[in-house]
Amino acid sequence: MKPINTLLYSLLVAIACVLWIVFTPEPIGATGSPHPDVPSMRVAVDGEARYTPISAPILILQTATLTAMASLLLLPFKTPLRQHGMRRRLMLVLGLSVIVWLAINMSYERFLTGPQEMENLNFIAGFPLPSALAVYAVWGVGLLLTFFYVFGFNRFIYTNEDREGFEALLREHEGES
Amino acid sequence: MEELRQPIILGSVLFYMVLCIGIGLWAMRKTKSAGDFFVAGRSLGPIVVGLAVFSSSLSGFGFVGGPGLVYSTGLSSVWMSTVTAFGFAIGFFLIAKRIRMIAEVRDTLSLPDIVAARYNSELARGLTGVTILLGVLGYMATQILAMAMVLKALLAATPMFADISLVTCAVISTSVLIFYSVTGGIIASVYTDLVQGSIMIVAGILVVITAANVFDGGMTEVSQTIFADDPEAIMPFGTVGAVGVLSWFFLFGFGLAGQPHIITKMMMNRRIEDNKIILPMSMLGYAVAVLLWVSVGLVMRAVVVGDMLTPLEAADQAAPVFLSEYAHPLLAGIVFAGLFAAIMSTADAFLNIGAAAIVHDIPKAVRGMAMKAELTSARWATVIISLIATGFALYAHYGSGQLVALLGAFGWGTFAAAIVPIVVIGLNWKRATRPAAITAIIFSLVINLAFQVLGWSLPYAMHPGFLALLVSMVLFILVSFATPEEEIAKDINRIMEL
Repeated sequence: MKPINTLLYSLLVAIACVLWIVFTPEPIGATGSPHPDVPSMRVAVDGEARYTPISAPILILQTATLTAMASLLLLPFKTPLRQHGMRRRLMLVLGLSVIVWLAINMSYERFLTGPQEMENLNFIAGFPLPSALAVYAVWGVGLLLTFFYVFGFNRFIYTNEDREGFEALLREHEGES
Repeated sequence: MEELRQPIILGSVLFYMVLCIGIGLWAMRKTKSAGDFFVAGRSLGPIVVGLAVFSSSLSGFGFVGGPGLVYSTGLSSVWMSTVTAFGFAIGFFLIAKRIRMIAEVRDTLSLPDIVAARYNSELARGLTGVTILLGVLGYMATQILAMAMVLKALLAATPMFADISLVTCAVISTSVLIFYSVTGGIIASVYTDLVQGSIMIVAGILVVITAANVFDGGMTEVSQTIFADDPEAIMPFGTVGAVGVLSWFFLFGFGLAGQPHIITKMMMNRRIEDNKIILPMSMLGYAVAVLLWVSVGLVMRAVVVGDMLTPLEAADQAAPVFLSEYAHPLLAGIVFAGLFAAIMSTADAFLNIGAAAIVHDIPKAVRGMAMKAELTSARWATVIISLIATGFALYAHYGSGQLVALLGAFGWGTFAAAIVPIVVIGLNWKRATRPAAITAIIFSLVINLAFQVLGWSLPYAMHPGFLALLVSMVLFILVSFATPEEEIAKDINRIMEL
C-alpha cells in the first residue's frame, strides 16, 4: 500500500476513535480534580474508573497515531531502493513504538487492577515502571529516527545523485535568469 | 554568598541584555538586504542553526510553564516533551532538504513564499501570511507579558526598584528585544539564539543535578512522595488522563514540523549536508531543557505534598521558587538569564516572520509585489508588531485577557493544523492540490477560532488543536483526491523528485 493511503486510513481510524471516546460518557473527575489541600495542584484519585471505559479506543488511537507517523515519514522516499531501505527501518521504529505503547498500557492496567501499593511497584531510574517506559522508552525509540537520519543521510536523505540533480537544476536556473 | 543572591541574579540578567544589544550592533553591519534580514543570506553554520532551531522552539513555557504544568498535573505533560523526538524527525525527514532547495532556487524569504511556489497560488500565500501574522501577534503578546512579569518580580525584590510598574518593565524588556531585532534582523536573532541556546543547555544540566539532590533518595524518593499523596500523579498519564495526553502527543508530534519560526530556520543553513548535524544538535538541546522542565516540576510537587514547603500560590511559581529555595545564587543567576533567553529567542523568531508577512507575503499576495525598500520596511514592521503586541500584553494584564486569548487561538495549534498538511505533506506528495491547501488552512482557522470564541471544550481534556490538525490532514488528502491533478512548476517538480 502507498504511504499516503496508509496515512489516510490511520487518520480515519484515529477520527473513529475520537468519536468513540466523545460518545462514551465521561466519568466524574475524568480529567482530574482540585487537590483537597493544595491550591493550584490537581489530583486524579480513581484511575481505574476513568481509564477502563475508554481503554480500547485509547489503545487503537495511539497505535493509529504511531502508524500515521511512520507512513508520513516514508512519504519523501521516491525511488524503490530508498523506499525499501527506509521502510525496513521505519517498520522497526513503528514496531518498537507499538511494543513500548503496549507495555505502558499493560503495566498501567496491571497497576490499576492490583492493590495499588508502593511495595508492589518496580521503580526504574526514578519512576514506576509504566512511567519510566513513558519517559525513557518513548523518547529512546524516537531517537532511533535521528540515528537513521544522521547515519543514513548520504544513502537515503541526500545522495550523490540528489546533489548532482540539484546542482544541475541550479545551473539551469542560473542560465535561464 | 547568599546575601549576594539578588545582585548576582540582576547582574546576570543585565549582562545578558547588554550582550543581546552588542550582538544587535554587530549584526547590523552584516545586514545589507532583505535576504540578510529574513533568512541570513542562507549562510549560517550547522551549530548556529541547530541551537537556533532548539532555542526558538522552546519559549518561556519550557522554563516556567512546563515546570508549573508538572507541578499542577504530575507526569501528564511528559508526553508533550518525549514526542519531540518524533516531531523533530518528521520536520527533518520531510521538509528540511526540500525547503532549503526551494529557498535557493526561488530565492525565497519566508514560508508563504514556499507555499506559493509549491501550489502556484497567491491566495495560498496570502492565507498563510495572514495566519502567521495573527498567530505572531498572540504569541508575541504572551512572550512580552512573561518577560515583563519576570523582570518586575526580579526588580521588585530590590529596595531601589520595589515600586517599579509592569509598564516600565514591559518597556525595558521590549526595548532590548526591538533593538537587536531591528538592527540585526534574523542574523542578530540566530546569534542571540546561539547564546540563548548555550545558556539554556548549561542552566538545564545544572538545574537537573540540583533537583536530583533535593531528596536524599533522588528521583525515586521524589516519585514515592508524590505517589503517597496521589498515585495517578506519578503514573504515565498524570492527572489529566490518557485522552488528553495522547491528544498532546499527536499535536506536538505532527505539529512541531508545522511551526513557521522553526521551518524558516531550515532555509538558513549554508549547505544541505549540514542538516545531519542540525537535527542531533536540536534534539540534544531540547532533551536537556525537558529534563529541567520535568525534574523541577516533580521536585516542587514532592516538597509541597511532603510538607517540606508551603503550597505555591500559582503553579507557574514552581521554577522561580525552586531557584530561590534550592539553587546556588550563581546557578539562579544563570537560570534567570536562561529564562529571558528562552522567551526572547522565541519572540525574536516570531518578530522576524511577522515582519516578513507584513512587508513581503501579504503585499505580494494582494498586489503581486513586496513593499518597496523592503529592508527599511521590515525594520519598521518589526517595531510596529512589537508595539502592538506590547499593547495587547498590557491590555490583557490590566483589562481583558480575551483579546490575547483570541489571538492565542491562532498560535501553536493553528500553525500545526494549517501548515502540516500544506507544507509537510504537500512538499512530499505531488497529488496535493491548491483547493486542498486552501481548504486545510481555512478549516484550521475556523475550528481553532470556533473553540476559542464559543468557549467549546472536548470531553476527556482532548486538545482542540489536535482535532483541528486531525481534521485538516484528512480533508487535505481527501480534497486532493477529489480535485483534478494539477501541474507543478518544473523546478519544484524536480526538487520533489530528489
